[in-house]
Amino acid sequence: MIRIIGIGSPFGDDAAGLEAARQLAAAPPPDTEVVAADRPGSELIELFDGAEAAILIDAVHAHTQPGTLHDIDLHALASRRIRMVSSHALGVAAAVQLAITLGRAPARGRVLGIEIAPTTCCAPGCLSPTASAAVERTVIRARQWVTTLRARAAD
Amino acid sequence: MGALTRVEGEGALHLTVADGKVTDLRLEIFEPPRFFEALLRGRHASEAPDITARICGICPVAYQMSTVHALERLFQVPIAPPVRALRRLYYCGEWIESHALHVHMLAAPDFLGCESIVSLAQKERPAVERGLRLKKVGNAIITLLGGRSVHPVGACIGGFTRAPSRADLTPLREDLARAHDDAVACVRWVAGFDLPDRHLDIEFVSLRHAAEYPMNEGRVVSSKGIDCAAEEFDDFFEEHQLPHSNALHAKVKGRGPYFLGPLARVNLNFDRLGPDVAAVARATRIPWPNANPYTSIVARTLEILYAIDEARRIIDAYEPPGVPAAAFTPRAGVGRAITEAPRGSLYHVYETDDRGVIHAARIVPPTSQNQAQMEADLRELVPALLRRSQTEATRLCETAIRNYDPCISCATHFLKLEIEHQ
Repeated sequence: MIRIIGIGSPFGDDAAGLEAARQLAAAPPPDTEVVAADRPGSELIELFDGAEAAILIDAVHAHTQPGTLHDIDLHALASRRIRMVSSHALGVAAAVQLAITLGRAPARGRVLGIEIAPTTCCAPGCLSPTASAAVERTVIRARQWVTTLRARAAD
Repeated sequence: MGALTRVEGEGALHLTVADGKVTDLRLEIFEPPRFFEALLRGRHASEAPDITARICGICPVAYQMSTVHALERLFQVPIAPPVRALRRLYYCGEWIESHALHVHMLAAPDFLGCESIVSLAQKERPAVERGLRLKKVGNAIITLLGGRSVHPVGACIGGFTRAPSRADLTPLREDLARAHDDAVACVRWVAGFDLPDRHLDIEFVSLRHAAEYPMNEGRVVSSKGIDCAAEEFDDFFEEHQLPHSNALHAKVKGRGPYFLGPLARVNLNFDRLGPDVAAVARATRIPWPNANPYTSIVARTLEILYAIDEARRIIDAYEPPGVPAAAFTPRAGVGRAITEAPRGSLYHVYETDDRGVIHAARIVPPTSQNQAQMEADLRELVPALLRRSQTEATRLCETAIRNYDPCISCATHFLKLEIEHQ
């Protein structure tokens, strides 16, 4: 089973990962489980349990154009200079790194990071047009990765 | 009106050394003011618990609880015993998750020569796995009662927006039974650390309840004789502003800094921990009470164990309330309350009109109250560190600061130590 985990908070463009999860859950690819995780912190590690592969979707700040889609191997995340948007003790990158160290991360996975910029609207459900468009591309990319990851598992 | 500053920000320690002596020491908190007290003005009292839950991502329950208790005292809202029990359960959840996070992710690496939780996991994998299990139990309690574990929304004036059934609590009961053994093992683990042996002249302050280990209720007591109600807080304690910090400093009037948090609570309420937890505490061979701030990590694990056992007791005795929240009628006046946040006593004051609109709010968090004590601790510690390398001195200062589990603890992992030699 491939678990798709949309991460974020309900506010403004930080909800990009949650919105992607919502769209994917409306028509989930076969043999996948779609989860929306509101700032999971260390609980992200538990969300890996039982998954053969995982696709994480989250808002990021990587000093690129807002709307840029970053597509990173899950196991390479710790070495990338991309900071997941989190104010909590354990951010997404650290939680992934901890899961890898504890042997609890799936062998295969991707992290789809959506570059966001500060917006004037931080209300729940208030996604900027740029982020909305990026979410649409991310949903397509996530579906492509489900196919690819499943094919790799069959090899 | 003072601005609420305080949480999840960056800290720096500035030292000035002249002739081998520390002439100036400032623990700087430069997180910008967040103005929650101003945000509350003009809002209806019923909105306040959801607003104050946003102050902290780690201890939102404490902010909600001090808010609802202060406003319920003002509005004279009767609280049904099952609701009171649920609030205690809610607080147990927060202590478990907050303490488990601090012990494993922030403090334990200090004592085991590890840089972070990741390197700790390489060295002590079972202990880290255990810490994650404990944190998960705490989060599950908060999620059940608060709707979600981060910035929960379930608490309201009069009770909760929804009360769980007995069946809702059954899975928690099973998780808590397993967590008890994890918590005992956790106490033994941290008590085995090579904790520095330092004893300071400290005034410990916490709530003390007539019959219970203090969470939501009690009188304010200190190791130097204070015994007062929340309404008398300002008769004994005072806040003041210093140029170097965006958090207000606090002191006991006429004396000086004071120490809040798990070590203060255990020291002042050891007889309220109950025989089982007290036996585990005595087996650590650490004397209780004690004035060694490095034993804070052990006190924190004792409170994890206490909270797990207390949560089980509450669940076993639980009968759902008739209504999840008592109705209330606003009235004009001032309401005050103190509850015990994971990091220590959290004091709230609200002034409302007869429609329940908030005209003034004051929030005194434990981290700002502990700030002067942290500086006093460092002032005594630093002279012995001056011959150490900058890296080693920084690490030892960070360790001392983390004994207090400040809400800037995330940032103090990146503590900037400036030593100015004159």
